[in-house]
Amino acid sequence: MQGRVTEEIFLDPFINRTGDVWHVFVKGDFKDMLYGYKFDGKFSPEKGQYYDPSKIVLDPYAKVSCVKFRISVYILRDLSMDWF
Amino acid sequence: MLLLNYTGSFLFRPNLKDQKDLTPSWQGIHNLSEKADFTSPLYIYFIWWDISPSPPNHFISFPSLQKAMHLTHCTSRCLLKPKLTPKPILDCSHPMRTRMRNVSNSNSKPLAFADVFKNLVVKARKEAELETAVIEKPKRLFKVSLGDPTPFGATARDGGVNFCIFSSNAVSAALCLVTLSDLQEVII
Repeated sequence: MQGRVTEEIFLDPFINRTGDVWHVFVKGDFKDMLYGYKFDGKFSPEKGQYYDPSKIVLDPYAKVSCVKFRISVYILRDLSMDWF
Repeated sequence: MLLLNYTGSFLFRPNLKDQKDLTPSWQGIHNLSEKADFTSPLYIYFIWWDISPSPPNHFISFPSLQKAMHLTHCTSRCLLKPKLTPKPILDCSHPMRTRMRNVSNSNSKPLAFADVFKNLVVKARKEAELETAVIEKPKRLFKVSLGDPTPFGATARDGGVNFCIFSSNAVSAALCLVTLSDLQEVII
Protein backbone atom coordinates (compact mmCIF):
# COMPACT_ATOMS: atom_id res chain seq x y z
CA MET A 1 0.00 0.00 0.00
CA GLN A 2 1.99 2.96 -1.29
CA GLY A 3 1.12 6.35 -2.55
CA ARG A 4 -0.63 9.27 -0.97
CA VAL A 5 -1.52 9.39 2.69
CA THR A 6 -4.48 11.45 3.79
CA GLU A 7 -3.16 12.06 7.28
CA GLU A 8 0.13 11.13 8.88
CA ILE A 9 0.17 11.32 12.64
CA PHE A 10 3.65 11.18 14.13
CA LEU A 11 3.91 9.42 17.45
CA ASP A 12 6.08 11.00 20.08
CA PRO A 13 8.42 8.31 21.45
CA PHE A 14 8.16 9.92 24.85
CA ILE A 15 4.39 10.33 25.13
CA ASN A 16 2.93 7.74 22.78
CA ARG A 17 5.13 4.88 23.84
CA THR A 18 4.94 2.81 27.03
CA GLY A 19 7.86 0.43 27.12
CA ASP A 20 7.79 -1.28 23.75
CA VAL A 21 4.17 -0.51 22.96
CA TRP A 22 3.22 2.46 20.79
CA HIS A 23 -0.27 3.86 21.34
CA VAL A 24 -2.36 6.86 20.30
CA PHE A 25 -6.00 7.90 20.66
CA VAL A 26 -7.52 9.67 17.67
CA LYS A 27 -10.87 11.45 17.40
CA GLY A 28 -12.25 12.44 14.05
CA ASP A 29 -14.18 11.43 10.99
CA PHE A 30 -13.19 7.87 10.13
CA LYS A 31 -15.67 7.34 7.32
CA ASP A 32 -14.11 5.27 4.52
CA MET A 33 -10.77 5.37 6.29
CA LEU A 34 -7.99 2.84 6.24
CA TYR A 35 -4.95 2.89 8.49
CA GLY A 36 -1.42 1.66 8.52
CA TYR A 37 1.86 2.39 10.21
CA LYS A 38 5.27 3.71 9.22
CA PHE A 39 8.17 2.66 11.38
CA ASP A 40 11.80 3.63 11.37
CA GLY A 41 14.63 1.79 13.02
CA LYS A 42 17.92 0.10 12.33
CA PHE A 43 17.83 -1.95 9.17
CA SER A 44 19.47 -5.28 10.00
CA PRO A 45 18.33 -8.32 8.00
CA GLU A 46 20.39 -10.69 10.15
CA LYS A 47 18.17 -9.84 13.09
CA GLY A 48 15.08 -9.93 10.92
CA GLN A 49 14.53 -6.16 10.97
CA TYR A 50 13.56 -4.56 7.67
CA TYR A 51 12.64 -1.05 8.72
CA ASP A 52 11.74 1.26 5.85
CA PRO A 53 10.09 4.59 6.72
CA SER A 54 8.85 5.03 3.16
CA LYS A 55 6.67 1.92 3.28
CA ILE A 56 3.33 1.66 5.01
CA VAL A 57 2.95 -1.54 6.97
CA LEU A 58 -0.16 -3.32 8.17
CA ASP A 59 -1.29 -3.76 11.74
CA PRO A 60 -0.83 -7.40 12.81
CA TYR A 61 -3.94 -7.07 14.96
CA ALA A 62 -6.06 -5.81 12.10
CA LYS A 63 -9.29 -7.68 11.54
CA VAL A 64 -9.59 -6.84 7.87
CA SER A 65 -7.10 -5.68 5.27
CA CYS A 66 -8.06 -4.62 1.81
CA VAL A 67 -6.53 -3.75 -1.50
CA LYS A 68 -7.92 -1.73 -4.38
CA PHE A 69 -7.31 -3.44 -7.66
CA ARG A 70 -8.36 -3.23 -11.23
CA ILE A 71 -8.30 -6.13 -13.64
CA SER A 72 -6.74 -5.26 -16.96
CA VAL A 73 -8.50 -5.98 -20.24
CA TYR A 74 -6.09 -8.73 -21.32
CA ILE A 75 -7.04 -10.95 -18.46
CA LEU A 76 -10.72 -10.54 -19.24
CA ARG A 77 -10.00 -11.65 -22.78
CA ASP A 78 -8.28 -14.80 -21.50
CA LEU A 79 -11.21 -15.57 -19.24
CA SER A 80 -13.66 -15.26 -22.10
CA MET A 81 -11.66 -17.68 -24.21
CA ASP A 82 -12.05 -20.41 -21.62
CA TRP A 83 -15.74 -20.44 -22.23
CA PHE A 84 -15.50 -21.62 -25.80
CA MET B 1 8.08 12.21 44.34
CA LEU B 2 10.06 14.77 42.43
CA LEU B 3 7.95 16.55 39.85
CA LEU B 4 9.76 17.86 36.83
CA ASN B 5 8.74 20.56 34.40
CA TYR B 6 9.27 19.08 30.99
CA THR B 7 10.64 22.03 29.05
CA GLY B 8 11.61 20.74 25.66
CA SER B 9 12.70 17.89 23.46
CA PHE B 10 13.72 17.10 19.95
CA LEU B 11 14.69 14.08 17.99
CA PHE B 12 17.48 14.41 15.48
CA ARG B 13 20.07 12.53 13.54
CA PRO B 14 23.47 14.01 14.34
CA ASN B 15 25.67 15.13 11.51
CA LEU B 16 28.38 16.93 13.40
CA LYS B 17 30.95 18.27 10.98
CA ASP B 18 31.85 21.41 12.86
CA GLN B 19 34.20 20.28 15.65
CA LYS B 20 35.27 23.70 16.85
CA ASP B 21 33.87 25.26 20.01
CA LEU B 22 32.23 22.11 21.23
CA THR B 23 31.23 22.12 24.85
CA PRO B 24 32.10 18.95 26.83
CA SER B 25 28.59 17.58 26.49
CA TRP B 26 28.62 18.06 22.73
CA GLN B 27 32.10 16.56 22.53
CA GLY B 28 30.73 13.42 24.12
CA ILE B 29 27.93 13.28 21.59
CA HIS B 30 30.40 13.85 18.79
CA ASN B 31 32.55 10.96 20.02
CA LEU B 32 29.47 8.75 20.15
CA SER B 33 28.50 9.64 16.61
CA GLU B 34 32.07 9.01 15.42
CA LYS B 35 31.86 5.40 16.54
CA ALA B 36 28.44 4.94 15.04
CA ASP B 37 28.00 3.50 11.62
CA PHE B 38 26.30 6.16 9.52
CA THR B 39 24.89 3.71 7.03
CA SER B 40 22.36 2.86 9.69
CA PRO B 41 20.39 5.70 11.22
CA LEU B 42 21.55 6.92 14.62
CA TYR B 43 18.97 8.94 16.47
CA ILE B 44 19.40 10.91 19.62
CA TYR B 45 16.40 12.10 21.58
CA PHE B 46 17.11 15.16 23.64
CA ILE B 47 14.95 15.98 26.64
CA TRP B 48 15.62 18.73 29.07
CA TRP B 49 13.94 19.45 32.39
CA ASP B 50 13.50 22.23 34.82
CA ILE B 51 13.17 21.17 38.46
CA SER B 52 12.41 24.62 39.84
CA PRO B 53 8.83 25.27 40.96
CA SER B 54 8.72 28.54 39.02
CA PRO B 55 7.42 28.68 35.41
CA PRO B 56 9.63 26.49 33.23
CA ASN B 57 12.68 28.05 31.65
CA HIS B 58 13.52 26.61 28.22
CA PHE B 59 17.27 27.11 28.61
CA ILE B 60 17.71 25.91 32.18
CA SER B 61 19.44 22.64 31.27
CA PHE B 62 20.74 23.63 27.92
CA PRO B 63 22.44 27.02 27.99
CA SER B 64 23.90 26.56 24.54
CA LEU B 65 20.56 25.68 22.99
CA GLN B 66 20.96 28.04 20.05
CA LYS B 67 24.30 26.44 19.25
CA ALA B 68 22.76 23.03 19.67
CA MET B 69 20.05 23.88 17.18
CA HIS B 70 22.71 25.10 14.76
CA LEU B 71 24.91 22.04 15.13
CA THR B 72 22.10 19.57 14.72
CA HIS B 73 19.56 19.59 11.96
CA CYS B 74 16.60 17.45 11.04
CA THR B 75 17.40 15.23 8.13
CA SER B 76 14.79 13.75 5.85
CA ARG B 77 14.69 10.67 8.06
CA CYS B 78 13.85 12.65 11.19
CA LEU B 79 10.13 12.51 11.70
CA LEU B 80 9.70 14.87 14.66
CA LYS B 81 9.88 18.60 14.66
CA PRO B 82 11.64 20.39 17.53
CA LYS B 83 9.19 21.24 20.27
CA LEU B 84 10.27 24.12 22.44
CA THR B 85 6.97 25.03 24.04
CA PRO B 86 6.74 24.19 27.72
CA LYS B 87 4.44 21.35 28.69
CA PRO B 88 2.77 20.65 32.01
CA ILE B 89 4.07 17.91 34.28
CA LEU B 90 3.69 14.50 32.71
CA ASP B 91 2.00 12.74 35.58
CA CYS B 92 -0.16 9.65 35.07
CA SER B 93 -3.22 11.35 36.49
CA HIS B 94 -2.49 14.70 34.92
CA PRO B 95 -5.23 16.06 32.63
CA MET B 96 -2.57 16.49 29.93
CA ARG B 97 -2.96 12.81 29.16
CA THR B 98 -6.57 13.35 28.17
CA ARG B 99 -6.05 16.69 26.49
CA MET B 100 -6.14 16.50 22.75
CA ARG B 101 -4.08 18.33 20.19
CA ASN B 102 -5.10 19.10 16.65
CA VAL B 103 -3.33 17.32 13.84
CA SER B 104 -3.21 18.46 10.29
CA ASN B 105 -0.94 17.81 7.35
CA SER B 106 -0.92 21.51 6.62
CA ASN B 107 1.63 22.00 9.40
CA SER B 108 4.44 20.79 7.19
CA LYS B 109 3.68 22.70 3.99
CA PRO B 110 1.92 26.05 3.66
CA LEU B 111 -1.31 25.69 1.74
CA ALA B 112 -2.29 28.11 -0.98
CA PHE B 113 -5.73 28.41 0.58
CA ALA B 114 -5.90 28.50 4.34
CA ASP B 115 -9.67 28.00 4.41
CA VAL B 116 -9.85 24.27 3.90
CA PHE B 117 -13.58 24.11 3.34
CA LYS B 118 -13.62 26.69 0.56
CA ASN B 119 -14.87 25.55 -2.83
CA LEU B 120 -12.50 26.42 -5.59
CA VAL B 121 -13.80 27.11 -9.09
CA VAL B 122 -11.25 27.14 -11.91
CA LYS B 123 -11.96 28.13 -15.48
CA ALA B 124 -10.21 26.17 -18.21
CA ARG B 125 -8.31 27.66 -21.10
CA LYS B 126 -10.16 29.34 -23.95
CA GLU B 127 -9.16 26.63 -26.48
CA ALA B 128 -11.08 23.99 -24.63
CA GLU B 129 -14.14 26.23 -24.28
CA LEU B 130 -15.11 24.36 -21.21
CA GLU B 131 -15.74 25.46 -17.71
CA THR B 132 -14.43 23.05 -15.16
CA ALA B 133 -15.19 23.23 -11.49
CA VAL B 134 -12.63 21.90 -9.06
CA ILE B 135 -13.97 21.38 -5.59
CA GLU B 136 -11.29 21.12 -2.98
CA LYS B 137 -11.89 18.11 -0.81
CA PRO B 138 -12.66 19.15 2.75
CA LYS B 139 -9.67 18.21 4.86
CA ARG B 140 -10.42 16.04 7.81
CA LEU B 141 -9.15 17.37 11.08
CA PHE B 142 -8.18 14.92 13.76
CA LYS B 143 -7.63 15.34 17.44
CA VAL B 144 -4.84 13.26 18.92
CA SER B 145 -4.31 12.23 22.50
CA LEU B 146 -2.10 9.82 24.40
CA GLY B 147 -4.09 6.62 24.17
CA ASP B 148 -3.99 3.42 26.16
CA PRO B 149 -1.39 0.73 25.63
CA THR B 150 -3.66 -2.16 26.53
CA PRO B 151 -5.86 -3.45 23.69
CA PHE B 152 -3.68 -4.11 20.69
CA GLY B 153 -4.92 -3.04 17.29
CA ALA B 154 -7.60 -0.46 16.62
CA THR B 155 -10.31 -0.19 19.30
CA ALA B 156 -13.27 2.15 19.04
CA ARG B 157 -14.11 3.87 22.31
CA ASP B 158 -15.34 7.20 23.66
CA GLY B 159 -16.11 8.67 20.25
CA GLY B 160 -12.66 7.95 18.88
CA VAL B 161 -10.29 5.12 18.04
CA ASN B 162 -7.37 3.90 20.14
CA PHE B 163 -4.47 2.57 18.08
CA CYS B 164 -1.93 0.33 19.76
CA ILE B 165 0.97 -1.65 18.32
CA PHE B 166 4.01 -3.42 19.69
CA SER B 167 7.44 -2.58 18.34
CA SER B 168 10.52 -2.89 20.50
CA ASN B 169 13.19 -1.85 18.02
CA ALA B 170 11.44 1.02 16.27
CA VAL B 171 13.00 4.43 16.84
CA SER B 172 10.09 6.43 15.45
CA ALA B 173 6.56 5.63 14.40
CA ALA B 174 3.76 7.28 12.50
CA LEU B 175 0.13 6.37 12.08
CA CYS B 176 -1.00 6.73 8.47
CA LEU B 177 -4.64 7.29 7.68
CA VAL B 178 -5.68 6.81 4.08
CA THR B 179 -9.12 7.39 2.61
CA LEU B 180 -10.48 5.01 0.05
CA SER B 181 -10.14 7.62 -2.66
CA ASP B 182 -6.47 8.19 -1.83
CA LEU B 183 -5.70 4.49 -1.83
CA GLN B 184 -3.47 3.60 -4.74
CA GLU B 185 -4.94 1.21 -7.22
CA VAL B 186 -3.12 -2.00 -8.07
CA ILE B 187 -3.48 -3.10 -11.68
CA ILE B 188 -3.45 -6.84 -12.14
